[in-house]
Amino acid sequence: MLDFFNSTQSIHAIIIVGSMALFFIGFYGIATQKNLVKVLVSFDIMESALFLFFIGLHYKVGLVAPIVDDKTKTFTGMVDPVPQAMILTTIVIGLAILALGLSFGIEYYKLTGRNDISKMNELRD
Amino acid sequence: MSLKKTLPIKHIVLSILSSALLLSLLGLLMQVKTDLHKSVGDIFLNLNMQTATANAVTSVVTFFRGIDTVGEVTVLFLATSGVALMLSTSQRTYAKIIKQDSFILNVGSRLLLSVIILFGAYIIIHGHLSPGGGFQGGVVIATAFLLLFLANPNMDLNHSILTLGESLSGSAYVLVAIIGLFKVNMLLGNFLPHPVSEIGNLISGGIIPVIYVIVGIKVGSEMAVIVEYFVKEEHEKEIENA
Repeated sequence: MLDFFNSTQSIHAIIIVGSMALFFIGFYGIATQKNLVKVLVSFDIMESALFLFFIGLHYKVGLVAPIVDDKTKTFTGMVDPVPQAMILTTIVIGLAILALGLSFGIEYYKLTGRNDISKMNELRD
Repeated sequence: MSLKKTLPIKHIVLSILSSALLLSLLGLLMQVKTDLHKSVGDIFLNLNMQTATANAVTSVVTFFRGIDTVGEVTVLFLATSGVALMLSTSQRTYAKIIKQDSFILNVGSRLLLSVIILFGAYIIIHGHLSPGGGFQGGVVIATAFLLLFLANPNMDLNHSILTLGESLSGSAYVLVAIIGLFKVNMLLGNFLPHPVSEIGNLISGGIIPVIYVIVGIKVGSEMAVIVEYFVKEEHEKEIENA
């Protein structure tokens, strides 16, 4: 039973199902919430699901983190470092975009006194 | 159309969209092969011994994909400028905060501040040897500033020092890239000595730890500015509400 969970494919399946669940939690939040801050936080939840998906799918059983130490003298038998580097970039950019979006939200609330996205109609007329 | 009729349509469209996305992702799962062919990561791992960096992720971020990181730092700078533009237009009131300062938080912040900054500096300096690096360590240093703001709400950051650190580190990054162009004919080239036998030592990897220190200073100062704007905003709201 434990061997089944220690195989690459079952770990990938668990990661795909879990990250998809997280992704759709965020998707549901974006589609249903009216509060601007909650919509932005839902975007962040969707983003975290993508991080889990990317990093998790590049893990294989038996591979170690791409760092050499006294045991692993050479760069062999290691996971792919490129997805980790890409996700490092994405996390920082996601943080920056979240901060920028929240500052827009705060400014909108200051100008109009509202944070309900269904009542945003300033650009209509 | 009344509200009662629009709601089911929205739910139907949403469920169709969600199931389509789910099916496409499951289709991706079916195509996953266990023995992948030689990927870019394998090539980077083979070449990684030449950079004399123990952490392969660090060498990918700062060396193989260095220009990508320059763009990333630029995006972070633009976002910080946007936050500053958005949140600093209003009249700042530095009046006394209504909430009384917590004594425990005040004393604890004095104890913890130096430890947190030291930990952040450790993460930055050891970015080429262990998990971590400039981005992570910079954010850890910014949490020290957040603790300061929570403990002393009336505190003001010295903006000139932060701006100086941010712009000097940004210029230093570009300068390092251009020096590499002149010395080893490659933008962001590794022009400092990086013998492979030194791998695993603190001073190894040539310019890679230098770049991560620069990135750490830049990220730390930018995140501190962002944290300051948000915390000050919150206090302003409290004053208005009182």
